[in-house]
Amino acid sequence: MKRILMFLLALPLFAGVKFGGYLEFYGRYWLKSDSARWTMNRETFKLNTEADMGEHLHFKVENYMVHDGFPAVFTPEDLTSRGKLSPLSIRLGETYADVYDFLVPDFDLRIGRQIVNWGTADKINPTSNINPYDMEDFMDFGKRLPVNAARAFYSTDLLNFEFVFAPIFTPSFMPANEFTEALTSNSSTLPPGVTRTRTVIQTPVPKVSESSSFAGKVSGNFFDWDVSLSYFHGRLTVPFPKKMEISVEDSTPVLVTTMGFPEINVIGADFSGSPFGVGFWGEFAYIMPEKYVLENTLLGPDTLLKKPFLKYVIGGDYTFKNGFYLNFQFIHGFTNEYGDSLNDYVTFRLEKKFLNDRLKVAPLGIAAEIADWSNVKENYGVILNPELVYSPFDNIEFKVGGIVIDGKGENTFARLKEIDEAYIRVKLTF
Amino acid sequence: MKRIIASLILVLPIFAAPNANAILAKADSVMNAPKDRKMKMVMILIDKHGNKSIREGESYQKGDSYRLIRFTKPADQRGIAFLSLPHDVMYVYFPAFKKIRRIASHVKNQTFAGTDFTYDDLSTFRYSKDYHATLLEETDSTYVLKLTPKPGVKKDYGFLKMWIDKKTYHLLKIEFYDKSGNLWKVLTFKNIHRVKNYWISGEMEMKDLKKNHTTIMKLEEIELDTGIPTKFFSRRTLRRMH
Repeated sequence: MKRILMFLLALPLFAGVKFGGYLEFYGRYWLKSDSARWTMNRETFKLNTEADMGEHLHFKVENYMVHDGFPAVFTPEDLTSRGKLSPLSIRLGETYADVYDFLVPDFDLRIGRQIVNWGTADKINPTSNINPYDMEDFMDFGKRLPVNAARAFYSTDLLNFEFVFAPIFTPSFMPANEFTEALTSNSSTLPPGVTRTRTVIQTPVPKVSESSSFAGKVSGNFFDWDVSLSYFHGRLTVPFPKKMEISVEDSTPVLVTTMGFPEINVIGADFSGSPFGVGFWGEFAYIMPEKYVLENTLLGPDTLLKKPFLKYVIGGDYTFKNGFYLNFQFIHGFTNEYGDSLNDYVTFRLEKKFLNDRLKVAPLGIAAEIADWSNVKENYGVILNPELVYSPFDNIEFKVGGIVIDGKGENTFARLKEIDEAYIRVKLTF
Repeated sequence: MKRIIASLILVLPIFAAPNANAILAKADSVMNAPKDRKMKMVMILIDKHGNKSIREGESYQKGDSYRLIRFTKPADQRGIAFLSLPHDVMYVYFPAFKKIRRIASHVKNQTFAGTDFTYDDLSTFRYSKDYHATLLEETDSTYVLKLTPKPGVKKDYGFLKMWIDKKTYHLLKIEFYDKSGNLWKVLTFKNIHRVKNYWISGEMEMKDLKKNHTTIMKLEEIELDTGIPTKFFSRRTLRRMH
């Protein structure tokens, strides 16, 4: 501890060490009248430390101190525990070192915890598979967790090459609240006589052949279009059922489900350009999974993944003469969908800035899910997200908005329809 | 003798009525004369109530085709970078998204990071490329040109009025008019001085009359002809800038 403190105190002695970050307050309130309550109570302090150490070296460390949740006090003893009163966690964000012109000119290395953010689409990037999803806040979909990786870049006048190797498998962070059910279809019914269930997550053994992933990408600009081709080998980061069996525990039959993470190979391609003044992009991921069979001791084996499938996003944006900005995307396959269960989504956002960009109003933010095109009326989900962002001065931002969800049938958004929320975020950047 | 008279007849009109497009082309050459330049920028944004906010950054330019601008202050703008390449290819980097984003042409007429300069203003190096010039007025010290967009060139401005110093061919002022002919913005070049063999403006003031908002851009620590390689103006540099 002493050494860490000494190191932190000594950091400013390095020439060019820069500190920055933000302080954010985030509250969300469930509006449903009979059970209205706060569902999010979070304060985040983020500290960035980075420095250029000469012409060829750079490092960056992101630290988060997060107070998240509500007092969990049930006994008199709990009142004496700060952990129960104020749940606090310290998290490490991206923490890496850059080596520029390593061995040869124009060859760069980035080593450490990092986010490899590939793809031209907004938020939903099916070609970006190195980092697992961080679905702690499900409404902030598309967010990723940093992973330990070595990343190499090489640029020529015509092309950019990138190669990533991540030695350790990290699963996605799943939402732990009311959003959990939305990610799993509630189709399974318990066998007769079974009243208890238990789920076991089986992560890959930490050896190269099991837990490592790697990816490569080549990109360039041709005829004013940015294009890229990529390849990924690794695993899905959302668990899939691998085995279902009845076991007797404490003289009670229990349905035990073992979850695993199937291997996949992904060929990716994306493009972005500006035909006729409109921003236009597309991102395609051809996913080839290993044959993944659920061993079900009751109903027999069930092949969950076998055939390759395509996930893609096509989108565009445009700014009208009156200053209104429109962004739209068509998404085939959401972040938690794989194999035969890919649904279609349409997102649409309209916003306009006022007061010299200090006020941003987004009256229309819509995400619609179409689970069945032949029966849209009976199987759909819609999320409305109007939002207002105001920055009265530099470095401070107030964001208020609402989430209104409606839907019918068996789909992700419809499962969330009870969750209508209002939120406020205040962010001070330093 | 006849030949001399004939030559004079041909040459005299050139002295009598200077070619506006040639003046504009010469002014473009003066404005883009240094092979490359790097400098610190201080942008002072003044709203209609007189409230000021300050942006600081650095700017790099090579010839008349490459420009890279990056903000270092305030904290919530730090790291935002803008790259302009030939053929109207532009990229912007927002650190919050950790992603380099291609700028589509519809964004070019939007203001950059709350300033009164549009992406298009920042990526326009040679007015003679996009505009046709006519001479409106000539005084002892200045040429006044009217610039109208060439056929096929899409601009939000209906026309421009440009004041050019007759001695140095440095721009003095540009008035930007909307398509209805109303004066929209005024760009004034101040503190014009000589650095090495080039004329450089140390301060530019862009006033948006519709918004009643002004951006004063002060250029400091100007370094010219330092040999910035073309490959510096790349996505790689955007990624490396923090």
